[in-house]
Amino acid sequence: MTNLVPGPDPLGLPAPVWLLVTLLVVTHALHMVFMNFALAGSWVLCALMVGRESEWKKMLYERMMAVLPVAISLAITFGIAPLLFVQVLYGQFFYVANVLLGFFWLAILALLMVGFYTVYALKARRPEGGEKRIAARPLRLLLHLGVASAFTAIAFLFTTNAALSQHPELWPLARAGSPVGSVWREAGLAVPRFLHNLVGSFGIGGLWLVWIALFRGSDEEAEKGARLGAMVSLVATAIQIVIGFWYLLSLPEGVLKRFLTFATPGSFSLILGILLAVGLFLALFFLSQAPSHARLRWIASALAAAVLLLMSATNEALREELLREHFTLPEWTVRTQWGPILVFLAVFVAGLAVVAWLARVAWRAHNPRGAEPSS
Amino acid sequence: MWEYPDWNVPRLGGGMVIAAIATIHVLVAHFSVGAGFLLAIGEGRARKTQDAVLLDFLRLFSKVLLLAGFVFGAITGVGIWFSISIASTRATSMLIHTFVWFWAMEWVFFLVEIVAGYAYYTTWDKVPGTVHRALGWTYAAAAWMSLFLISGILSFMLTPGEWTETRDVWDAFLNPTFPPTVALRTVSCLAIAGLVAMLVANLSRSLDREGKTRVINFSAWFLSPLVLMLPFAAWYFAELPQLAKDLITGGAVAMMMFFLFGIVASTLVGLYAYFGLIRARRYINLETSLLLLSIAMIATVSMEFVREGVRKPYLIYDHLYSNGLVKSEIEKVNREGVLPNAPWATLATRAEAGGGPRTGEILFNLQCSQCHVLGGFNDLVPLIRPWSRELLVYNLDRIHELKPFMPPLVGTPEERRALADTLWELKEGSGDRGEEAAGNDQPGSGS
Ligand code: HEC
Repeated sequence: MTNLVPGPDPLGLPAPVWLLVTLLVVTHALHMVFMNFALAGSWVLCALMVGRESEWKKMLYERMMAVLPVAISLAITFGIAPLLFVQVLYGQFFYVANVLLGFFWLAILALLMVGFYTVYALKARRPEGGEKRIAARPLRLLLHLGVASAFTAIAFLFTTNAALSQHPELWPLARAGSPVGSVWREAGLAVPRFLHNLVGSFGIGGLWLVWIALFRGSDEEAEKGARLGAMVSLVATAIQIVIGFWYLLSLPEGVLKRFLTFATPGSFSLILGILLAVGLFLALFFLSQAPSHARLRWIASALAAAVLLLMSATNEALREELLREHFTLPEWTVRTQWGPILVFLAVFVAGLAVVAWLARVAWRAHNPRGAEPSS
Repeated sequence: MWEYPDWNVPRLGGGMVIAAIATIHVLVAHFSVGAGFLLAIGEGRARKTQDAVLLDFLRLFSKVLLLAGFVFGAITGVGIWFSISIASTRATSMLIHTFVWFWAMEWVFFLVEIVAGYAYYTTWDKVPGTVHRALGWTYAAAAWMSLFLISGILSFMLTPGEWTETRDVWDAFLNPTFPPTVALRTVSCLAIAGLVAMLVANLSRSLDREGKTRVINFSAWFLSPLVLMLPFAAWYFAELPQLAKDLITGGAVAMMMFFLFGIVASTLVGLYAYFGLIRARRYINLETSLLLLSIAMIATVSMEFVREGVRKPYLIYDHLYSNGLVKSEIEKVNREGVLPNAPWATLATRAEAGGGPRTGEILFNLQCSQCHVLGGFNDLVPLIRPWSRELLVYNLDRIHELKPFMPPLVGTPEERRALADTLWELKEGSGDRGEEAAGNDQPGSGS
């Protein structure tokens, strides 16, 4: 077989590998935080619409709908950053997968657009009717299902793209036939990977529910919402641990071996990640018993954040291992642009300060009595 | 060298898909930037003059910004990335590897823009007026900064300036057409925001005729900078490379028309805004505001078309050709041949075991199909119809001299002959598939 893998861009890397990899891992994890709420949250919203109506469901629904558009916007914004860094580090694989997917790759945008506008339509209120929303309940449920399906399809396409870009051996097949089919033909390749992404998002999404439900302090209604969130997260984490092992064992033998023999830094992040995930499971178990327990909530969230970051790092290590026979990062010529890096850092710090100020202003505006988020 | 697979879009070509997404995005993005200034300035004025009508209008306008800019603008912005990465892969890779830190800065401003926009939109009446205005100005500043940064990167493609020699990213960013690009785009942004404001005022159900006129006269201020279009365009023109200037001044009539149309239309709208709407305080109805907005949008798009069009034969001037070949690779490809340097193109041949495209077709697909679609846009057959076979063979080696906006043909002598054969067959209309080119069908030897 001719070597179909393009060479690294001769312009080289404008920064040291470690810096770019760190940024990729961190921004990818941040993207997950918001994306997971958009994805899992849109399914939870469907669930809230079926069954008997109740006060706590209504409250949770309203609050989630208030947060959802901002979360989607931030998921997009924080998605752009890893998109940038993955192109810098792995463009020669990423681009090929994009081209092979072609319109499937562009379909992500259409799905996102439809999903996002549908959310706004679901939020819209009747011009004359004050609180009343447009559309009847069955139609609203249908629209919610549409949003959730669109976001799930996006996750599916991103998984497909990632798998295709990390398995160059599939490229001739993808080129000759259906690019999506080439990835999904072998169940072991993409199914655990996709499920890992999907189920994981309920783990993080459930925690969002806990926070959102208790946003204005704790009462009986809020506690019910928080319990639902904790349960969603708990069940997802349990399933996720099982799927994680399936995913691990489905890896190509050579790659699995390197993970098991500590030949990659990914072994460490993986093992630490699994340990903390078990800790997260326990914390969530207790949280589901006492949903408004503030310290437990913080512990669970901190553990979830750590697991997310570690798994994002493991994900990167996995990419390196899968591509090892084709390319390794040290092969890059590095021409560091220190000037622009410093300017960027200055802009970044200033930007964060502005964002913090904006968030404070907005927060105070919406909580005029200085109501605290925690119980 | 053609290390990446190509994306085949039947009939339209990938370039058209990019153009469609980019056009829509440019308009919405321009609106998003201009709208920030309109809101910030408008709110200041409304609060100072205690103009509740204007204030109410701005609240409505901020919703339009949210729905159009934050959803449509943001997603099509990502869309440009998605589409250029598949339609112009090498150019995308070069832009990314040159400008990562500028993109990263752009991203920071984008983040500020989004957060400021939501903060602004959700805190009407919930924070003191001065704070709310500060939020508006934060949004406007961040949005304009992202325009500023993107302008440097876009203008780099047309005028890379010193970068071609130094490979220094500052040379790339601070390139000759960067300042006029910022100036032109800023003017367009303000105008489009002003025109959308007029449209929204007309559509608004809560404004009476007097209120509408007041909003329209206020918005007209954002159109008046359009009279600067002419000097700014002249400045831009002065910084263009010679070949691009030649194209505009007549080498390609379409370019000249677009350029002139863009300037004239913008100037006229600007003059009308000043004399008709600001001085004479006229009212304009829904149809007229739609008409004006359409003119401004077409003018903006025309100027973008010119920017893209005059870049031929390059994607990145003096560096990367429209057909994906880097200038310095020509010699290598002429020596080794196209096929060994195009693993993806020959993959299809081998997979289809002899029935796939032949050398001539591969050459055409790789080097010509970006601008010549067989049986479609800018079809080659009519162009070569009067030519004899000898002239065709002779001319193919000189297409870049015949029309300087074409990249030179590259390939070994045999490959060139195969292309000539293919073209000749097409011209003769015989779909007969000879095997004369089969000898060149050896697999490529890597990238
Ligand atoms: C960057 C875009 C571009 C590329 C790439 C390109 N062309 Fe052209 N070509 C043009 C344009 C534009 C014209 C002018 C059409 C006209 O005059 O109507 C043209 C005209 C021609 C003509 C007619 C010239 C004349 O003097 O009448 C020939 C022959 C031709 N192209 C052949 C080719 C071949 C062969 C290739 C591939 C090796 C190629 N072109 C690649 C843009 C391109």
